[in-house]
Formats: sequence, structure tokens, C-alpha cells
Amino acid sequence: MPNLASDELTALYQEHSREIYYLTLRLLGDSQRAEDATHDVFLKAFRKWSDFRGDSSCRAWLYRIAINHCSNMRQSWHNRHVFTAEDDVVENNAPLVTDSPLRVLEIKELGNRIQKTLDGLSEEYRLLLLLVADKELSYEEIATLTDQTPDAVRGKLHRARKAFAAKFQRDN
Amino acid sequence: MKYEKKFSQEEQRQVSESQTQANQTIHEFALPEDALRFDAKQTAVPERVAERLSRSLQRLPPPARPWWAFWKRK
Repeated sequence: MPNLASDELTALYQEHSREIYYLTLRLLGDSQRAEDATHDVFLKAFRKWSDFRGDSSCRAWLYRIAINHCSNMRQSWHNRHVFTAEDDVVENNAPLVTDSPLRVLEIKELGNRIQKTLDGLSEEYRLLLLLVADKELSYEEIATLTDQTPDAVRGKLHRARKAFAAKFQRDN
Repeated sequence: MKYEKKFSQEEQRQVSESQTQANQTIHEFALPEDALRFDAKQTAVPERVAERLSRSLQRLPPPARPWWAFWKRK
């Protein structure tokens, strides 16, 4: 990876970029837009680094920027494009370069199925599942990021899991 | 022609095998977030994001000096 502005910023990018990219990829459903979003999120974070007060974890702070950014992107995208259900689905993750062709296909297939399932859920459920998947985040942090209480997160998470499982079984 | 047909069958077999494996993989996860965690681990950030970010940072203007810095220097 090329040097960013300083060692600190490079470390920040190396530690969190995969999770931020994954969140944007699955929220936006498009790898090119996820690249743009990841770039913009870190650029914003680097510019606003002095505003980071440390009362949440750095990961949670970056997620906050990413969620807002994706929400803005989705809003402006929907304003400019007319979608069909087919168009809205599926773009992919970039598998690791060391994987065999069959493995790459398998990972892509799983990624596509996960994307398709997530796209069929409400925005709230999708975001909850994606945030809970990150073990570094506590329920309290997820609650703050989604503007609700930890108990509400637990309750909705239960329903989100059921919805995901049912949709995955039905659609795939 | 015959070779092409066989190759295509072989390809189809590989695709369906990989789909079966993907199905098996998803069913091995206890919770949806385990599947997402696995999916996230397989997802690499494209190198060009860091390269683009590096270029963008170089183009950023230096931070503005506070107004009092001008007087302090005098």
C-alpha cells in the first residue's frame, strides 16, 4: 500500500479499510460505488481526524461516516436512476488473488447470494446484520450507530436473522 | 465439436459443484452474521483505493492557519 499522509493514517487505513469496504459493498451492492465510498470515507476521516474525540471507538466513528455517506449516495443514486428489480442486484467482492479459479467462483457465488438476500431485507435489518457481523462492535455501539437502545437492537436482530434465513432459503 | 461439448459439460459440472459447495458452506453457519463474517474475510479491498486515496491526500490543501498566527509571527 502506498504511503498516506503519515504512519498514523496508514495504520488507520490498514486496520479498518476491509470492514469499511465490506460495509459499503453490501449496503450499496456495487463494487465500483463501494470503492468510491471507501475512498471518500477515509478522505473525510483524515480531514476530520482532529474532530475525533475518542468517546467511541475509531471503528464506530468510521462506520458512522460510512453509513451517512452510503445513505447520501443511495439517495442521490435513486434520484438519478430508475431501477428494475434485476438491476438492483449483485455486484461483487474481489476475491483474494491466491484463490484457485474454482474457489473464486465459489466465493463469488456465495457473495452474490448474500447480496441478493440482503437486498431483499429492509435497510434497517441489513445494516443491523452487517454491524453485528463485526465482532469489534459492542451492542451499545451498534445501538448508537442505529439511533436506538441496545435492547431494541437485540429484539430487531432476532427478527433480522429470521428474515435473512427465510429469504436466503427461499431465493437461493 | 465433440471436444467443445465435453468441455462445456465439464464447465457446467464445475459450476454446479461450486454452487453446491456454496450452498453447503452457507448451511454450516449458525447465524447469518457468521456468513457475513466469512464473506467479509474473503473480500479484499482493491489496491487502487489506497492508491487513489494517497493521490487525493497529496492534493489536499494544507490546513488553514488560525487568524491569530499571523499576528503572533510579527
